[in-house]
Order: sequence, then structure tokens, then C-alpha cells
Amino acid sequence: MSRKFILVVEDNSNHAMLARRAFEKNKMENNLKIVPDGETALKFLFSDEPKPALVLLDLNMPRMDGLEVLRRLRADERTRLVPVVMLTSSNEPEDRQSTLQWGLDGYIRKPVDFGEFVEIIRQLGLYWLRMDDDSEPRE
Amino acid sequence: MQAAPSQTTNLPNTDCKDSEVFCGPIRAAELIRPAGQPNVERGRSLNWGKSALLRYAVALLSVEVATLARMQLDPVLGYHSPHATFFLAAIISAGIGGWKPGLLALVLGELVVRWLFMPNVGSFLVGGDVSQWIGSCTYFVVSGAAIGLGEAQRISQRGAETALARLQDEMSERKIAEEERYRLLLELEKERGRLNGILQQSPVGVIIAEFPSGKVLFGNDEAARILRRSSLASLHAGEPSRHWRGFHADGRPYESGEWPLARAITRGETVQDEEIQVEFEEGGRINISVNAAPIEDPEGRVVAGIMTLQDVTEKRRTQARLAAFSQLGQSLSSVRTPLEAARIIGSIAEELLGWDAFSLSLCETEGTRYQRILQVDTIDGKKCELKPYEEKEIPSRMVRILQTGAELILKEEPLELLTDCVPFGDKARASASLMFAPIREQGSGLGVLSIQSYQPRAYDEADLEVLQNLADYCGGALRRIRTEADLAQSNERNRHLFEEVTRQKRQLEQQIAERRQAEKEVHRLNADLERRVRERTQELLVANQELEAFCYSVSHDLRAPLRSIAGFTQAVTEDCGESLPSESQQSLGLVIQATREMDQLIEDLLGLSRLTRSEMKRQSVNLSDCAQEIAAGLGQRDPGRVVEWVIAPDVVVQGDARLLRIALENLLSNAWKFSGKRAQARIEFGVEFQAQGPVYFVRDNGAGFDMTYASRLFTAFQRLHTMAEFPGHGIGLATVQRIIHRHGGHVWPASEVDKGATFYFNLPANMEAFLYE
Repeated sequence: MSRKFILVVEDNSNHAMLARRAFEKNKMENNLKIVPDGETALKFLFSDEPKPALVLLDLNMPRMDGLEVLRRLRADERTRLVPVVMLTSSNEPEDRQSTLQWGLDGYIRKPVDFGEFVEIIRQLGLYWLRMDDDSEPRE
Repeated sequence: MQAAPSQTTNLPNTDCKDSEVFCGPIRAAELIRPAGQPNVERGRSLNWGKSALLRYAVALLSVEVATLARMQLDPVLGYHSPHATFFLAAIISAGIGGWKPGLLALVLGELVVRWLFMPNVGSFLVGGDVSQWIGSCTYFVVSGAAIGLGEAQRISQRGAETALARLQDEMSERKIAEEERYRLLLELEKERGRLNGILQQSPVGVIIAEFPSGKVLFGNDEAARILRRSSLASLHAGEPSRHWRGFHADGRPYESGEWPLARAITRGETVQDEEIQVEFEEGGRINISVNAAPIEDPEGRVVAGIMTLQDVTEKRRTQARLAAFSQLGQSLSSVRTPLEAARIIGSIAEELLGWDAFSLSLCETEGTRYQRILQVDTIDGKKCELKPYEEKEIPSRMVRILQTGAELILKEEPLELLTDCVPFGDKARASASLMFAPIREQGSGLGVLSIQSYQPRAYDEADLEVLQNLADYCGGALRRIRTEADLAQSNERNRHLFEEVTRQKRQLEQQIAERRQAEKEVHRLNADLERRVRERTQELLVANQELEAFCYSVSHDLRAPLRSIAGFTQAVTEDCGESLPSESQQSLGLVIQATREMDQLIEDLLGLSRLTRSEMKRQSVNLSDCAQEIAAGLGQRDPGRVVEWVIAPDVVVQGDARLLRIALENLLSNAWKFSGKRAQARIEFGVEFQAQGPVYFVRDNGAGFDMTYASRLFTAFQRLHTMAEFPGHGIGLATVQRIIHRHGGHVWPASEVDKGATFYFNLPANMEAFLYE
């Protein structure tokens, strides 16, 4: 039985490592799947694989950026309802506005401070992985 | 009768009295009328002797009677004394009828005697009878003697009678002559009266002067009138008068003896229609036409001269006027200006009337101002045109003349200058004769024409009429001038209009062409501009995009590695914190610290760039309130510090509240920061009013800085103090400058090291110069 998981789309490997570590710090490493780019993320999401509880999507990525990935997810019936939270270094209001427009469920500025980041992941996990999880007994 | 030539020739040249003058006509009448011969018949009473036939009948009858008587006596006498009765018959016949009937009776008696009473009756032959012869002889002798005696007596008686008759004749002749003379005198008196009447009544002046003295014998009233004298008595045909002077038509004066009457008398010349201009001593000139002829006696000797004269002044004047007016009409028809018309009128008036001063004034249509078109005055004997001028008020005289018509003013000596007369140039001299005539045109008064003379009584009513005529001509000419001027003006206007239209058309065409060209150019430029704008926009877009990209890369790309540094440093610290030497752990902590600072720096930088991009909102901003709030905030952040705040109240400016607050925040926090080391920190916000307007400032008594480096203050990331001295990123003043610049203002520092710093800024009052808007 597959457990709930969060799909992290992150092209920066360092950041991906930091994300993994943050999940580990919150004991959520098993609920994590990381893909390196948008295409892979879409391929995964459009496949028969179980859908993630949440997609943490990096906005700024080479080739297909986060916004495009979001647009395609929302355009597809299979992924229309998948929650997506944008994860970005930018704190520009314009960026935030335009992404919200496309049916984003959250917007998180990547903090430089790792401790902050760990806290953010903890809260995300609490919300998306544990909440209303009656059918899935916690290990 | 003094008409006898012998007498007239001997007449002494003495001044004669009026009576003598008037006896002149008698003589003149005598002279004119041929001297009548005494025409009285010498009447003789009728007598017998006058009838010869009767006398011879008496002779025959006496012879018959004698025959009958003898025949009676015949029986007595027989042949004796046959002649007895015939003696008687012869004597009676002679006595009654003179010697010729006597002789006839004698012869007849002899024949009867011889036939009847002598022998040989029936024959005249005498017989031889001596007695018969004797008887016959006796008869013849006696009878003849008786006849002769009777005749002699008759002759002597006739002589006496003739002498008596002659005496009687002479006596009666004288008487008759006396009567005749008286009658003649009466007749002459009548004749003289008639003649005098005729001469006096003559419409022409008549003057008769005698030869050779030239003394004027007669002058009729008309002559006296023409020559303006009550009497012509003292005149002399050949001598000049002191009352007048004569001039030829060419102006040459008449010399003594040149006058027509003188010429008629002295040279027997007949003068016909000679015209003389007479100038009177008391003033005035007339033209007279003169005829003159000598008067000759029957012998052809000149006894006197007669001259008739007619005043043709009016005629000449009329002719001159007609000519002048005709000329005037022609002259005026070609004038173009009122001045020209005035000059012509002036010259004609001079010619016709003569003047010393002339003026022509015109009123304006409204009648409130008038203008002297021409004014000529005689100054030092010369006619001078005076400068025309304009006057605001029309003199009352002119108004009156315009209303009531022409005026003739003759002034007697001493002359006084009328106060309201038209002032002529030579005001020291008053005109004695003035004439004014209104210049009218279709009933409305245009102006006044005036001529004036310094001579008294220079003009009369007729002259005034002439002047009025001139004024009328002038009015007509002025109307024509005005009409023509109007026409010319309207033509000119039309021409101008046409030219203007043409010019404007050309201009318009040119403008259209230019406009087209310009449009083309504009199009080209626009196209060019658009292209350039597009290019520039594109460039700007690219630049902006680049800037955006830069900002992005700053925010993302710079942050990304920073985040890695921070994250992994944290990881290392966590993973093997205890195993690391404490020095290394401290270093790792500093790394993390540095990443945090850098993150803040990046955030500030992005904030600065956002300032430029954000939209400005203009509104009233109370900087005093703002400063108070900021001060309060700063105080809360560091409650341990003691800072004296001096904030000027109610400093209100126009601008963007958010941006101005950021600027003020930066300035005040700078002041807070750099006065941090002062025990008695003092931070002041205020405003100074300078010539260019209000200048706001933030002053502190902190560290201050060296003004040498002031220019670097406002550049981002430039700092004058070390991070250890005062923390900061060197971006605050750059932000301030950018905000103030966006408001169109300036910011500048004033400082000395350790003596605090003051930052001044100004904001344009009207805020119209918002930059970047």
C-alpha cells in the first residue's frame, strides 16, 4: 500500500539535497519523491503512478519552468485537483500574483536559513500528509 | 449866337462856371443843327403898275375914248387939230400905265389920227400938208414930252419909294429877326432841353469838350455816375484827373493826352469802342468802353470833341467770371485732393475778386472738428501759404455761416480784429472786407470758403454771389474728390483684397505644399520615430527585461547558492558539531551569519529596484507626523538610548506618502545610527525657507563624515564607515536620493567629521515635475 507522499520538483541538486534533509529532519523521508525537472514531473504525474498529496514546485527551472508545469497540470483532468505549492527564491509580488492566478494552492519563499526551511516542511507535512489521514494508519 | 466859328476860335481858355457849362448845349445845339438862313419873304403891297395888261388896256381904252371924243369934235374941228384928244389919251395912258402904255397910246393915237382925222382918210400916209406934219410933230413932241416927264417923275418917285421901302424893310426885317431870334431861342431852349434830356437820359455817359482847350463843356449824369463824380465841371479832356487813373487793357497807364476825347479834339481822331480800366483814387476799378469823335463846323474845322462812355465792368466781369468758371470747371475736374481744389479756387477768386487772405476749411462729417485745407495770407506783400492745421472746435462764425449762408462783412476804419473771425496768419492786420461762403454739398455743409481784403469796401453783394458760386463749385469738386477717393479706396481695397486673396492663395498653396512636404516629412519622421521608438522601446524592454532578469538572478540565482551555503553549513554543524573544534564551530556560525546578511543585502537591493518601478501617488504628506512615528519606532527598537528629538511641526509637502516615508526613514535611521555613540544624541528634522523655496533637513550630532567623499554617499553599496563602526549595506542614501529625485527634488549633505551631519532635500512645491511619470 502506497503511502501519501510529496513530490518535490527541484532542478538544483543542492536544494534537492537540502529538501531531502529537511524531510529527514521531520521524519518524512519516506513521504518524499524528488524529480529534477518539469518534464519528469509531468511524466510522473500523468502516469498511472499514485498521485502525490502535494507537489512542491520550484518556479525557476531551466527549459520548462514551474509556471508551465502548473499550467499543464491544471489543464489536464488527471492532475487538475493535485495540490501544488510553488517554492521559489523570488519574493517578487508579481511572481506570486501570476502563479496564484493559475490555480496555485500555496506560495513559499525559499528561505536562506535552513532552520526556517525545516520548519516550513514540517508544517507542510503536517497539513498535507497527516491531516484527515484516517485510512492510513501512521507507522 | 456864339456859334460863329470866328467867335469860338477866339474863346479864351478860362474856367467856366456851371452855368456856362450848361450854356454849352445851346452852342452845341447850334453847332449840331445847321445854321438856318433868314427865311422871311420881303412882302410888297399890290398896285396897278403891277398889271401890265391892265396898263396897256388903259392905253387902248384911252386911245378909244380919245378917238370917240375926236369924232364928236370932228364936226367942229374937221381936219383941224386932229391930235387934240389924243394928247390927253397919251398923257393919261402914260400917267396911268407908265411910259410904255403912254408910248403905245401915242403911236395908236397917231395912227388913228392919220386914218380917220387927217386928209386921206383911210390912209396912214401923210399928205403934203405941212400943218399936218407940224400937227403930228407937235403931237409927238408934246405927248412924248408929257410921257417923258411923267416917266421921269415916276422914276424919281419910285426911287424915293424904294428908299422908303428899303428903310421900312430894314426896320421890319430887324423886328422880324428879333422875333425870329426869340422864337429860335425858345426853340433852341426846347431843343436844348430835349437834347439835354436825351443826353441826360442817354444810357451811355456823354462828355463834350471844346476845342482846343479840351475843357469839358458837358457831361451827363451817367458819365458823372460812371466816373463817380457829382460834377464833371472841372475836368479836362487832355489832362489827368486826380480822382482816377486809366489803364490800357495791357495794364499800361493812360498818359496825359492819350485819353480818347483828347485825341478826338486834338487830332480829329474817331475812337471806337476803346476799353479803359479806370482805377479810382478811393478804391475800386471799373472798365469803361469809350467812343469819341471830333465835332466839326460846316467848314470842317474841329470845334469840339464828344465822348461817350459805358461802364462795362459788369459785362467784363461777367465775361471774366464766365471764362473763369468755365476754366474752373475744367481745372476742378482734374484735381485729386481738396488742397489742389482749394488752390484752384484761391487763384480763381484772386482773379475774379482779388484778396489779401484766403482760407478754405473743411469740417469733418460729424461736424465736431474742422481742418484748414488751405490758408493763404499776405505777409510783407507776398502771398504765403500757411501751414494747414486742425482744430477741435469749429468757430461760432463758421457754424453760423454753415447754417445761415454766405456773409459779407465790410468794416469801416478803424478796423478791429473780430474775435471770432477766421484767424489769418498776419493777425496784426485786420481784414476790412471779409466774405464767407459755406461750401455745401447736397444740402450738408462741408466747410467754409473765405476771402478777405485789407481794403475797405473791396467787395459787394455781387462778389459774395461769385464767392458762393466758387464755394458751390468747390463743394461739387470735393464731392467728386470724395467719391473718387472712395472709389479709388474701394478699388484699392478690392485690389488689395484681390492681391491679398491671390497672395493668400499662393501662400495657402505653398503652405499646402509645405504641409504636404511636412506631412511627408512627419510621416517619414514619425515612421522613423516610431521605428526608433519601437527600437528604443524594444531596447528598453530588453533592458528592462535584462534588469528584471538581473533582479531575478540576484534574487534567485544569488540566493540559490547562498541558500546552499547556509543549508549545508547548518547541516555540517548539526551533523558533526560536537566533533569539531570550537573554533571551527564558531567559523561555521559566522558563515551562517554571513549568509543571512547577504540575504538581507539582496532583499534591500531588490527593494531599491522596486522603488523605481513602483507607481507614484501624489498626495499631501505630513512629514512632521511621519518623523514622529519613525522616531517612536526607532526608540522602541532601542529603548536604552537617550536621544533628543527636535521635530518641526506641521511640515506638509506634496508627494508619494510611501516613498517619502521610506526616504525619511532612511535619513532618520541613519541619523539614529550615526549618533549612536553620542551620550547626548540629538536628531533634528526641520525646514529652512530659502530663496528657491523650502529646504527640509535631517540633522544629527553624530560621527559625521569627510565631505571629500560626499559624492560617494549616494551610490549604492558605497559606505564611508566600516561595518564594524556602523552596520549597514550602503544602500539607504541611494534609496533616499532615488526617492527625492523621483519627486523632482535634490538631496545634498553637509558634514564634518565628528561634528554631525545634515542632509538637506527639497521638493518642488507644485509637484508637477514628478519624474518618471
